[in-house]
Amino acid sequence: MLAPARLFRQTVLYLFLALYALISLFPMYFALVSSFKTTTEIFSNSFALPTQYNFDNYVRAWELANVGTYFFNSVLLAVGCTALLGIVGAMASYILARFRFPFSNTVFVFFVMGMMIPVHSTIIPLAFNIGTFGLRDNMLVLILVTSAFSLSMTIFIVTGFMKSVPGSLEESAVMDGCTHWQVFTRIVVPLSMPALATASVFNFLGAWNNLLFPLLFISSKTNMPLSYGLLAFFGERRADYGGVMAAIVITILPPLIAYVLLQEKVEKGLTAGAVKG
Amino acid sequence: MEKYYRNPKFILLFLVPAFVLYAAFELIPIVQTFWFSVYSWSGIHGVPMKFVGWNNYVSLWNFPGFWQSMQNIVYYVLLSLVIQIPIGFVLAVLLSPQPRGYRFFKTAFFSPLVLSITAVSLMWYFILFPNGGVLNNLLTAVGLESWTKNWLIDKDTAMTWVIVVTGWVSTGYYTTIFFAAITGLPDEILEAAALDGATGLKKITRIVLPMIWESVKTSVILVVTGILKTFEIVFIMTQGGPNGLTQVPVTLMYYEAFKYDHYGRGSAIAVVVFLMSIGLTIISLRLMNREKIEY
Repeated sequence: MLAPARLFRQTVLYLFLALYALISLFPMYFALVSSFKTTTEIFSNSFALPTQYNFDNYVRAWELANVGTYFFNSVLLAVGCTALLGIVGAMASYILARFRFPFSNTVFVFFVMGMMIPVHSTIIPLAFNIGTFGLRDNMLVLILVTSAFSLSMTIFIVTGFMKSVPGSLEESAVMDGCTHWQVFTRIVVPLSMPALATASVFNFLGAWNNLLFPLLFISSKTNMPLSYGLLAFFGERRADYGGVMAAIVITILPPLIAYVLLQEKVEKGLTAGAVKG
Repeated sequence: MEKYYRNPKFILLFLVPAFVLYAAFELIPIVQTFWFSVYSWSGIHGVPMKFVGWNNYVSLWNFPGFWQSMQNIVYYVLLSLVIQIPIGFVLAVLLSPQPRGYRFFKTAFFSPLVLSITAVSLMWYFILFPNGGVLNNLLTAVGLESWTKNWLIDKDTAMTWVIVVTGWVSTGYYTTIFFAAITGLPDEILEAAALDGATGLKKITRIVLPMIWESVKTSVILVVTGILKTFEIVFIMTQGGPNGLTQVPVTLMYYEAFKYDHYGRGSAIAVVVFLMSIGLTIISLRLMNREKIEY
């Protein structure tokens, strides 16, 4: 039996938490229920559950509005960036964490400094260069540009972790005659998996959710990822609210599922820049 | 082993891919931004760039739209600090004793952060939609029909909603940071504080807050630099309107360069954004340090 004062405090606590949870989740609930409704129903009855669940909006969005293509492009973009950053980032991090060469610390600062550069301050020359070299509307180029801006963070996370791993395993592998490459792929990468996973979550979500680069560098619908495709869909079929809502749900569902499944990793990945090592 | 860690060939081989990626798409463009900002240039290939010195900066100085965007960003940053950090902190304090179900709440508060900001901006666009949008429907349903507005077009509410939506996305981030900091505090300290009679609000302001001051500091810097980089919410919800009242430097730069072909002026704004971002990071660090010493 709780004392009345404590009971009161608990009730206030939960009311407050529930209120903020409601605010946090409501827009997602709204998008989800609306995605099953007809346009009239969305406007006349915005809060209620749909009177019947029909997937017309999804079918229309996926097929007519190219959302299927956009979805595939987003997977390609996000997986491509994550893989590229995992490889290139782990390689550079290994050197920066372990190897001895002149100005090694300066080189580390040089790479990590990129976290301070605002993306927006680079887009005019980027657009110019990509136009000059005829590299617009190219998925590979989009992957490279998007990756470049997550590289500093990846190196920051992975180098810090690698420094904390003792070098004894590497040493014995070298004694056994392993080459640099073998030590890297068989010892260093497996041991660094926790940090690589954290960085990968950050990189995957960053690429999946990025709008600015596709907006500037992609022009055809066959190459658009979801973020830009969603905006294009909204621009063209403004009256098709149900379809837009379905496209929104398709866009936000993969990151949400990833978050629910890999909660700790996702929180770590997104707050990694905030927590000093 | 010493030899293994000094192999120059391997060092180069492993550093070069990262260096190329970083230099080609980040470092060279940021240098070019400075260079472009002293040229007048329409962005059309074949039309030569004309050196104009400080002219782009002078014209920016005399451009009311630029000052409007600067005023907006200051308001945006200040109001975001006032919203995100205190709410984030209070939620973290409430969750820190880990009451039953705290995991659910923590997940719910953090979840907006994983969503595509494009999708978020569109969801809120529909919620704030004037005819039949959720907010106006809600107001009408509770008999406050006279309060309904065209939220994103009305000059009194557009900027506020941009800031509220930004806060909706980010507050959970600070809750998570503060939660980790508070639960990481050693139990003995909190117990000792309780024995000394520091409970409730006193415990929070006198013990908890100073002890997690590093996190507060980091959070302030993250809010400031994060807001400077906010593009999508404005770009999608208001396009900088009504009448430039929600325009921020990065959206202004985008429109100047890619809509009006004023690449020189756009680059000058990009330089200002770059300097502000670096400058504010340094200033925030300094200010926060001083406050800590005074405490």
